[in-house]
Amino acid sequence: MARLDGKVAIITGAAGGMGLTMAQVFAKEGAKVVAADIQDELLQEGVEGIKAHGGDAIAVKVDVSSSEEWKNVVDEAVEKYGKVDVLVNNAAIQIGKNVKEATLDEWNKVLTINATSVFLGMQTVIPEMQKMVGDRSSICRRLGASSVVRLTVMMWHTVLRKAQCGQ
Amino acid sequence: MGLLDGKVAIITGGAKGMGEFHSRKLAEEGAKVVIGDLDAENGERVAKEIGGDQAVFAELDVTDPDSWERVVQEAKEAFGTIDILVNNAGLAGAITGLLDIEEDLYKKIIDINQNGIFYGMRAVLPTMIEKNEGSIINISSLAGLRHDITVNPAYTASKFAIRGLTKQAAYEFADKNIRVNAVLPGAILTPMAEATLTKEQIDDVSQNLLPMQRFAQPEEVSEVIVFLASDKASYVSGSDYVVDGARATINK
Repeated sequence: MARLDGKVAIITGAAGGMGLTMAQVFAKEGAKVVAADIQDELLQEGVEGIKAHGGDAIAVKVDVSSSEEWKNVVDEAVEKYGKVDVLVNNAAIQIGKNVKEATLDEWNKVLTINATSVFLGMQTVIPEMQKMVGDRSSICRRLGASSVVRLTVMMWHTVLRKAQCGQ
Repeated sequence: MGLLDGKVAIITGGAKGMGEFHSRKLAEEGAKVVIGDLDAENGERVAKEIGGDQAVFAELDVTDPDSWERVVQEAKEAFGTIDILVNNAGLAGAITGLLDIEEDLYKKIIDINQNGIFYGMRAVLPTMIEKNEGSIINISSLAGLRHDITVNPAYTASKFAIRGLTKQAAYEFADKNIRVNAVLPGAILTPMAEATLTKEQIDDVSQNLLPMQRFAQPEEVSEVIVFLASDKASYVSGSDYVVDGARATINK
């Protein structure tokens, strides 16, 4: 028995990099994967690859900074798989500039995609998770009923930053 | 197929309480287990219940380096090598303040909880260095992350120290493929907790202090240890794994 049998997982930023690898590993462990990303062609390719290896996955295009598009992701997940057990807020961007170089627009873009997206994702998904188990107390008592994960990749940012500064 | 097939693990304090659950869970996942404990009666019992070819009891006083050397030898004689060390043995002691705790008790707790882990790592590391592989899991506590009103200063100090030793060892032996992590359990419904707390007390703590409104079952800690011990955690080292049902998110 695989460790995620029967679980439905939304993974953002799943078109490539760590997100795609997560989607592949989740599928291999038995999860039904809702792979979400803004790069929809690349995402389709990734999902086809997962299916070719016997995994169960769908691709849903999303701009993680849009509340409406988040709603669509959850709707698609529920329509196809009936529920949401796991959310991995993985999507993120990195602009390789220091404080002196970065513009306000760039700052806002990073915060919107890396932070606001997490808020929107949780806000959209948690009601669905609660619906699944009834109320808050039962969410607590049902082991592993649901989880919301935010992956931080600060170490990569730090590494990149140091590389850029020539350290 | 288990996550720990073919691996050999030493579990200190593995004869009863949380350690007994860890011994059983690691064995369930395929590890051969060496139950290191002072308590021979329970140690033999757990080893026998797990099954003779997969578990042995080895008498261990974690505060004594010679005792550690003997256990390492016994582990190698029984199963050929050592892949995993779970430094679980610990002493809590009564709830007291800084001015109230007796010096002897303070030193005893430090000796078992802190020095025991130091001696344990020193005893198994040469074997792990030689094979260029190993996973060490040191059991700290939520009280090793922030002050906890339910313990005493020696316990708090020792559990903080465990995290420090963990980071020291993780850094020092990272290039030898030896991973060292700390696990920080919160409120766990161990047999001892069940025996010492009334149902009302358990309910009261659950409702007022615990975000999940329940204690953890010991197995919920064992599962994290299995993960850290396994090859699934191949890039996890020097970490604190808090298993507290979100309790550390609040100041209670």
